[in-house]
Amino acid sequence: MNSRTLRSEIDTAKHSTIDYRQIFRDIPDPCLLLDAADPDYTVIEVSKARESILDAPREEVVGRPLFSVPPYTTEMFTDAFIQDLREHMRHAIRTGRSYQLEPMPLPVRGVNGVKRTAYLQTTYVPLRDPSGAVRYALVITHDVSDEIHAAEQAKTIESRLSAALKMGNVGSWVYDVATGRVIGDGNFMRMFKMSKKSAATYSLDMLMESVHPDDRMRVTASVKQSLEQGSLFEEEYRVILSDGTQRWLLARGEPVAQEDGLQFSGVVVDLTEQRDLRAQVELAREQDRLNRRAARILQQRNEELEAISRSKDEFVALASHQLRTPATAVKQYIGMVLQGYVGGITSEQADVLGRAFESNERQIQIINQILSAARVDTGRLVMAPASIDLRLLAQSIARDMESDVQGSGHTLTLNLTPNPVQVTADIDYLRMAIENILHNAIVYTPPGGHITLTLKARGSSCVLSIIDTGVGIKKADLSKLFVKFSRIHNPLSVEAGGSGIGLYLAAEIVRLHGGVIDVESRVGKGSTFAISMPIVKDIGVKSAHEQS
Amino acid sequence: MVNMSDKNLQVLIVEDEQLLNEAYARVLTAANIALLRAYNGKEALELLKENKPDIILLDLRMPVMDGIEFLKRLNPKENCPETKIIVFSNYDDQREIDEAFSLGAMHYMLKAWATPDELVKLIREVDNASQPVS
Repeated sequence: MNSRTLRSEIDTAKHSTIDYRQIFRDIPDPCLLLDAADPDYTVIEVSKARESILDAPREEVVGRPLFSVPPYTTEMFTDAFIQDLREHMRHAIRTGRSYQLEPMPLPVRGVNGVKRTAYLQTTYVPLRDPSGAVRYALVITHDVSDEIHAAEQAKTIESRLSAALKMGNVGSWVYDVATGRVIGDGNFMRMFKMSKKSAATYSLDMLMESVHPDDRMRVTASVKQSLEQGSLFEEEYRVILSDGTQRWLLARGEPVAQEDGLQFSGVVVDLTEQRDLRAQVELAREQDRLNRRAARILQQRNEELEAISRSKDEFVALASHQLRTPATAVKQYIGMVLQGYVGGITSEQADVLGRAFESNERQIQIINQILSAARVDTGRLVMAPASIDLRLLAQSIARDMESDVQGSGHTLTLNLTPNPVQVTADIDYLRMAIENILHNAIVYTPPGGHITLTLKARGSSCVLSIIDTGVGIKKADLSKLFVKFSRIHNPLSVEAGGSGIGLYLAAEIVRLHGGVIDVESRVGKGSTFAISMPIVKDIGVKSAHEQS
Repeated sequence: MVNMSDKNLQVLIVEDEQLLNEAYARVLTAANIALLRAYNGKEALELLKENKPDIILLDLRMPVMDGIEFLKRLNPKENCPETKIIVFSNYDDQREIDEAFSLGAMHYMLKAWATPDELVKLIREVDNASQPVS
């Protein structure tokens, strides 16, 4: 080597000391060079990669203590944690052995300048000089995000797979034809309620023991056929487990020729829940079918009942009309005698015939009420509404029934508002309703009673009350009061001999007038029937064709 | 008993019920009313060929020929406008009554309502009235 060459080498060497720093700067990994002898571990140099990734420029790092430069300035690095790290660094320098920290999620700046969180793993590397002393240390950081994510993903996939296998209750098996043994995994063992929860080996015969006797021959034949023909094996069958429970399994497999003979492997799935679900769905469908059928039958029955009801109504109407004729004839013939068309009679004869005539009249009234009730029931009661003065109607009814009131030894008091009370009503039907209530007041009041008719107008409605001092109605009987054909027992019920229609009809008629009947009663004291009606209002006209 | 005026009033009873037909005949005869009696519409039409009663007391539901058919055949508005027709039925079917009125009947009474006196009174009122009596 000549002097020129030597000079050149020296120059190179001189140059190379500068290059070491430059080389360090250019290291593609984020790293720091530290003064290991300095208790603060002052940073001597930083790689450009670290500058950019941790977003910490050289001037903020070089010449500063290690634990005062980013990322040690972030919240994550508590005093205790830094103390811990300092200890690890000291240990690494003292022993000369590298120390690797756990990966930590830290904010970093990507190549495109976008900030993100990356998993960084830092290693403290003590650097020995030729004498073995540690004068410098490296802090190397790796972005291990990809590995961490991959591991996490793998873990997720694994847990999902495991969950899927568990949920689907899929077990796997291998049947070694040569030895006649079946190797199953944990799921497979669980399905057969075998004692081991991990993979184990059993003879095929032993497993076949747990197959339901009704399915066993079929499964055995299917295995045999599959082995002989090399075809796909698929069977759904029941197994009876050691605890006596029954489960449905679906086994599927295929024989594959191997170097060391035929191997038959496959999976088995527990279908019990699905079958239960299917059974439930089937049950629900069956129930639905039954419900529909029941609904059809009910509808049919309903139509039959309606037809029966219609024919009953028609029968009632026809029978009632037919009953009118003989009652009319009785009325004519008794009337002829009473009214002197066939000569004179004694007063005693007149009295007796008068009773027969009254009884016949009552019969005709009952027939009329039954006919009206039948019309109400079939919606054929037609109203002929007109504006009427309810006050005049009440007076007229009181006049007409005066003889009945007196005949029973009662007194009738009218307490009517002095002004006209105009209501929209079918006068004949409304009269019938009021008369029915007044008739009851007369017959259910012991002789010598007081009956009061009051009429009050209040705003847009009016109340006509029929108040008696009669036998009264028990609370328990109030609900039966307006029910058709219901009879209420009281001291006068036998004598009164009602038809069970009068109040029903009264309530229906008042209802069709947009009104309501309220009852207050005390046993032994008397009753008040209050008919409330709107003052001047159009009443509903039912779609019918008949009218009395 | 309601006495009639001296006027020679003639009533045609059209009633299929023997008992009622006879009852009305007795009552009206006792009240000095001349009678014609038929048991259905067909018999009534026969009688009307020779007679012109003042009033026809007409039942509606009758065998052989009912009251409505009788009115259709008779056409009283054209053929006997002077004759007053009282529908006297125990049926109170409004459609039936309306149809009878459209065919020339002018009055209606439910048979079950009428005592002998009321029947005679009705006939007298109808005879005197030029308008329908209700």
